[in-house]
Amino acid sequence: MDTEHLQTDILIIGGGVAGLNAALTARESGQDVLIMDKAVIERSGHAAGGIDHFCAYLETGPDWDTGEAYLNMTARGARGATDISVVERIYCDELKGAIQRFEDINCTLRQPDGTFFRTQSYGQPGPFYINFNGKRMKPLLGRAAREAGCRVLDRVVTGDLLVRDGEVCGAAGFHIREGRFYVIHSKAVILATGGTNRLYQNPTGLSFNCWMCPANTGDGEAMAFRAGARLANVEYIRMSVVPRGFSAAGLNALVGMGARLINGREEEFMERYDPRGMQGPRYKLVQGVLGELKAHRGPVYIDCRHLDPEAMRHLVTTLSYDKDTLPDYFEQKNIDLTRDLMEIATSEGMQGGPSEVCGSGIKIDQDCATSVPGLFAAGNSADQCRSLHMAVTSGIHAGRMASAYSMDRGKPAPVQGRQVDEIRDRLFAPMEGAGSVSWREFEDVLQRTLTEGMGPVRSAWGMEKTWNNLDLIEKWKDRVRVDDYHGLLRVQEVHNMMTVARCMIKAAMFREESRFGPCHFRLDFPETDDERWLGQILVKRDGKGQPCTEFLPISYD
Amino acid sequence: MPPVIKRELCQGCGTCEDSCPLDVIHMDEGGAVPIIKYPEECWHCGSCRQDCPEGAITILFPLRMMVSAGIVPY
Repeated sequence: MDTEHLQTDILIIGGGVAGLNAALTARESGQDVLIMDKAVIERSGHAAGGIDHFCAYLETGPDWDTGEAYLNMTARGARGATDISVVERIYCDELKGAIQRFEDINCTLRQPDGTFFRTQSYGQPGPFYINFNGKRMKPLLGRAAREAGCRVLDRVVTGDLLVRDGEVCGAAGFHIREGRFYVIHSKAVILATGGTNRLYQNPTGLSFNCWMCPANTGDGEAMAFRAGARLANVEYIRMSVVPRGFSAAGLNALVGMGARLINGREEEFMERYDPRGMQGPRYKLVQGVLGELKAHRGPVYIDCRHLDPEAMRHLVTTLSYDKDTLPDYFEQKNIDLTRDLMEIATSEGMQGGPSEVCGSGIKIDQDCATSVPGLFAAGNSADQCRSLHMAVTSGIHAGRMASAYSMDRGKPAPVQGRQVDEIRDRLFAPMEGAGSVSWREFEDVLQRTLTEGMGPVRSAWGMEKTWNNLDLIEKWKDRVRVDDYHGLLRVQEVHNMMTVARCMIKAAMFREESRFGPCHFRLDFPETDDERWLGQILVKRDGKGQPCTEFLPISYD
Repeated sequence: MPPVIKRELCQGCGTCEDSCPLDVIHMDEGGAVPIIKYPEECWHCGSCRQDCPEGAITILFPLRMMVSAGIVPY
């Protein structure tokens, strides 16, 4: 197949919210920018179809509306996972510019009358969520990136990073329709590929019916790991509460507008699980739903019937901003929120950060830099970033810091031909395989074993069994066969999910305590142990390519 | 399976193909008609419907998502 070589200052892998904000800032710094995305950047990534809230403090006067209050909330809600010095540098320093960025791309956070509509949920000290219409945010961001002069490779999936003498100097990937092989030579790389989904079985049996974007399969985390970078917070499983049958976003809007969770006896139950009740963190809502079902007090419902008509109108509109097709789902299922209870359930699991404001994945420092020179990370693929506000601010910050790094370099380090050949051979091998296993079967067995052993109830023996199962699954790797480049994309995704799963298991086995409710609960170590485990578990590859762990204590004064 | 494209309204412009974040929609070999090539990989994000200039796309949820049944793990 054809190979095309391209050169740029800054290569951005993943053209979602974080990647495109990084691209715009790097262009403002005068850098040559190239963006690679599996899809077309106007509608790619988690916010492709729209989004409805942006978390911000606005310094309007009260104590809760300050950076200090935000950082206190973050430290309290993600103790042991968040590094406040990094969050302060990324989020607090870039917030004003982030809000301005929305104005610049013509996707304002304001209501038509010029005010901010603010709501409160998930343990916030005040109404931090700005509700807005983000249905066209991605097309507007994509257009802005093209108009700013970024080069874009749409429908090109990255296979691996290029590393020379311990420094990242580019990446290689292929076009998912035509198969053309691309080698990009760059001075710096920003990974902005989102989180890791499709790891666990979906209750409907439809793997792509997932809460976050099913195109986000831990590609950046896996590539960073292979390049020698450290991952953090990857032991945690994340779940949400979703309409039963449709793993749709929207819980924040429901909670923010005053919806209640009730059980099969029509009792409110959240205060059994958290003194803040419905205002507790998301993982507590998950814990509450699981607890009621386990105690045979199900089904569990969301109740909006008490909301006044004005609040209800706002809610229904906002829900469609977050998940465009949710109103259609209600209609086809004959659910009227003003009249009916809506049955809910916990979503499929995913690898993700333990709180709304703390992420998991590639370990970044105050400059969004990883432990590998030339490699930066932003958005949901970075360990400190979660949600839209962190995607935008970390994107801007990564773009700024990668530009500073790039300006100090002469030209990209030369790529080693042997490494390029190895990546190409590995990527295209399933096209030539003689095996009979489809990527779906490969994905299915991975999901089954993780659901069994790496869910919200864990034990040493269960995790060890899962690890051994992965050994077995990996032995079948060479028997996976695909017939087209779309299939090649999917099998590549499953390989990356497998790499993240390995790191997840190692980190979870190492953390001999429980933390953040169902995010990491061990039957054999059911208590939280701050004396031993207040901090992050870092995962990196050893000499044989296997994940090894170390503990990084974090203090919160 | 979602999405459903009304042939009588579709002008074959290919916008939906570019809007899909999951590579589900492909123009057929002649490049004139969009086909839902991988229906099971739909995320139901509604991007294709939002962007269709002819309003030719509706979203129809599959049976598996309409029935509240099955074992909730854990």
